[in-house]
Amino acid sequence: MVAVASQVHCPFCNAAQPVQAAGAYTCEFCLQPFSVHDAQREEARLVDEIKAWVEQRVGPGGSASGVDIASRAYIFQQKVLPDLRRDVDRSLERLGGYGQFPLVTVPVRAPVQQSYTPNPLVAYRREILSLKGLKARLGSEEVIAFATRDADKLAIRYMDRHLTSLVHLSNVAEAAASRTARGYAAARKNLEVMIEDVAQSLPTEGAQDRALGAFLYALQQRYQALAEICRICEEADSGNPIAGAPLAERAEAAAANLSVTAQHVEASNYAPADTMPVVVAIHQEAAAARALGRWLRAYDRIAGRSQVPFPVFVGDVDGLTGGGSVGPEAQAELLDAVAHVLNAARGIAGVPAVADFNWVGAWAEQARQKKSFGMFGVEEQLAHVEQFMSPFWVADISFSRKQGAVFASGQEQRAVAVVDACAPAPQHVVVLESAPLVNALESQASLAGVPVAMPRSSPSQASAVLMQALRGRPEYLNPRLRIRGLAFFGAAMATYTGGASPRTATACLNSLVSIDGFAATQIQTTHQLLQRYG
Amino acid sequence: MSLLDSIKKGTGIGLTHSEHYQRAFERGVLLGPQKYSEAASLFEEAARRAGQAGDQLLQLRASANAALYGFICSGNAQHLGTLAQTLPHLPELEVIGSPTEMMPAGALLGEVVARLAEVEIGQLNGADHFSVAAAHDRAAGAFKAIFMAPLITYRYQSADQHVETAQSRFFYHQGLGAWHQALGTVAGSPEAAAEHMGRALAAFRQCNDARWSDDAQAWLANCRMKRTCWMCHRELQGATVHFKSYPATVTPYVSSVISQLGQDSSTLDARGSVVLCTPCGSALERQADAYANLRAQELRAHYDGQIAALNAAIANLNARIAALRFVR
Repeated sequence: MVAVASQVHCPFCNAAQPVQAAGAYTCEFCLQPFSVHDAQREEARLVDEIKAWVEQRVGPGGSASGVDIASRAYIFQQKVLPDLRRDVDRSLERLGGYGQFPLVTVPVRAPVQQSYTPNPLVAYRREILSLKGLKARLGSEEVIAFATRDADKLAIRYMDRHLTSLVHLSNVAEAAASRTARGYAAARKNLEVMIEDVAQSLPTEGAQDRALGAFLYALQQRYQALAEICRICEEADSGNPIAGAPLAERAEAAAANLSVTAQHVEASNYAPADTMPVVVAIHQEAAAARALGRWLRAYDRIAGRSQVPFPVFVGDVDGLTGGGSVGPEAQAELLDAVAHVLNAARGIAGVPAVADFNWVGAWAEQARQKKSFGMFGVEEQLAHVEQFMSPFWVADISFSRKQGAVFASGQEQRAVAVVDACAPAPQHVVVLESAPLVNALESQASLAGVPVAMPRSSPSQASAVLMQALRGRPEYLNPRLRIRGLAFFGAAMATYTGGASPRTATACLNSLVSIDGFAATQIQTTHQLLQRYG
Repeated sequence: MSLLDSIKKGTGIGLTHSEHYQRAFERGVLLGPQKYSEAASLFEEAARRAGQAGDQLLQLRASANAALYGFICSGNAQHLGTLAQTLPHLPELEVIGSPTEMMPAGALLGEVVARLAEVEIGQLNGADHFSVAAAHDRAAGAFKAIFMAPLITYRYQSADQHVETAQSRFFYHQGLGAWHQALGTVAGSPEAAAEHMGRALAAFRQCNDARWSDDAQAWLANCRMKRTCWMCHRELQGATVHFKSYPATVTPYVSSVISQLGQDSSTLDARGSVVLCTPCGSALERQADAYANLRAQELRAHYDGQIAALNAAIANLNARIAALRFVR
């Protein structure tokens, strides 16, 4: 087959393909399958299109071979270049701004800036892939033959690079969004080609315009960092157990490189309309890389003993840490809390804990519904009591309080406030003014072998709830707070039968602190995590 | 506290100047935000007493606190001037709401300077884009000086949602400065305007302002758009400013002719519009207006005579009816 011997281009994205056996291809750049026949047919169509286009400008025949150099230059300046520029401008403007959108989606939830518009690199994928006709025109011998001067060749090269990089950028965004090892490999391939392409442009275009040179150099750095992130994602998504820390270190290094690169782009002094959106995108890519690093470290702390692959871990833990209902920053904080609690439950680390259960028997009896006068209501039986350690966010608070009636004055005071970490709500906030309990929080204990409920809130969320609660209570004037961390209190859930259906009641430290019934269900979460990850 | 002390604190009689200062906290600040305006008055009194006693440092602290609490409960910018004068002479000041926790006076001073720059923006004519842009740039510069600091007074007094960090306000003002630069520049150079709007877009995204950043994005897309004028065939940049679409009849035949000639097909829309540059479009509009006015004047002249004749006939008829009544 003749076409196999010559260069085969993908009929979808026009990328050159290495020879593959049996004539069946899957594009390494856009992951589309095609046959040699498809490629030949598309190539023939493009050649006809280019011929027709040149003939329209130059006249029948349309070849530069019979035209002298001065006439060729004139035709290029008057007819070819303006139309090429116009067609490139029009095709790009349809896409709108795409520079501010991050290119690589990491396989964990990462902070993204809100926008009401979708990423054009993905949303206008069809339009971007259809640019291959225009791109083929820019690269065709028929057109280049009219560009006799260096400046003309450079103008064509500039437009060609712009379109080529747009197709590659779209390929990167689309492939990485699949969040699979194969997708990341394809994204990396595209990035590597772009790195090479920018390297070629640096000594030519970059040398003519220092600002452009600085911008191109920074772009090269960006693509290198993104390629490294893709490599990390490929390794993390390999399906095998991984060592999270080394990958996390690489992700953090890539994030640091991206932050520096953003500064370089900003300092390049090249067209701010093009560069500043890119700065925004790079900052988001750096944040995504940091989020990935945080998840990889959490993987080691939570699942490092098991043989669970990273994508499975992310799938398991994402739901347990709020899924789409919490922001990625809060989720990352919660991941740290989950790891902290698991290590306490494993007996590896100590945590502030008040393991007092002496009150449970009396409380369970008191909370049981009984018949009045032996006749009215329901006579429940205590079926089961489950004792567990429930997590609470602890904060040091300071506030002022009004004193006196005739000559009212305020006095500054300090206390400790706690809120249920399983379901923080302003109504569950308790200010501890009893010294024994506050003192008890200073002691550290292991939670090994004890049922422990897993928190479902981050310190930032708890801080906001605590502040909302304090501001809503007139006795706490001018409140300020600082989150100290998690502490664990003895809690119990009693199940009663005898009514229409079984009833449960939950209390913590004999109702000294307020707890949501949801806490007891979180014991199962800890149990599942310990069973799954050891 | 003895009864006498309590009465002294309650009435303010017989207190030393430092006790007056303490009293402003106890009878004002510590009773919560609702009493901050009273705290401001008590601090003013404490400053006066400290001045009389020759305690210059306490006088400055009391004056600064009077201005601080006066500002956060009233929003009156005059207090900012007092703060700007007193804070440079103080090493630290009490945190809002506390008599014991201190904050560096420099942190508050930086915020006050930035707030004064914001006050200046509000006094400018919004249509003077370059002056407004320069004022926003000055405000951005002031926030850059305290870039990493948390904001102190914005929780109590703010006109927008960027109240958490100086960083966020820096980007907000940087964005608005570039926005106004773009609006001021677009008539002279859409290219330069697009550059400014690119900066604005980046700044709005940095401060997480989705509404402003989407507006900037839409404006930028228009500003970078190029079209060939249907009438003069010149290619111009800047939709809505340098060219517009006008309703027209566009048949498929016309579209195919444009395509066969290899001309700019984006100059017309098959749904029924063509692009005209502002000179061509405005020439058409004004000439159409002139013709319309001329025709309106002709019609008015024509109908004015007819209406005058009609009015005369009505008057005549009314006179005759009146005469008939008289005869009867």
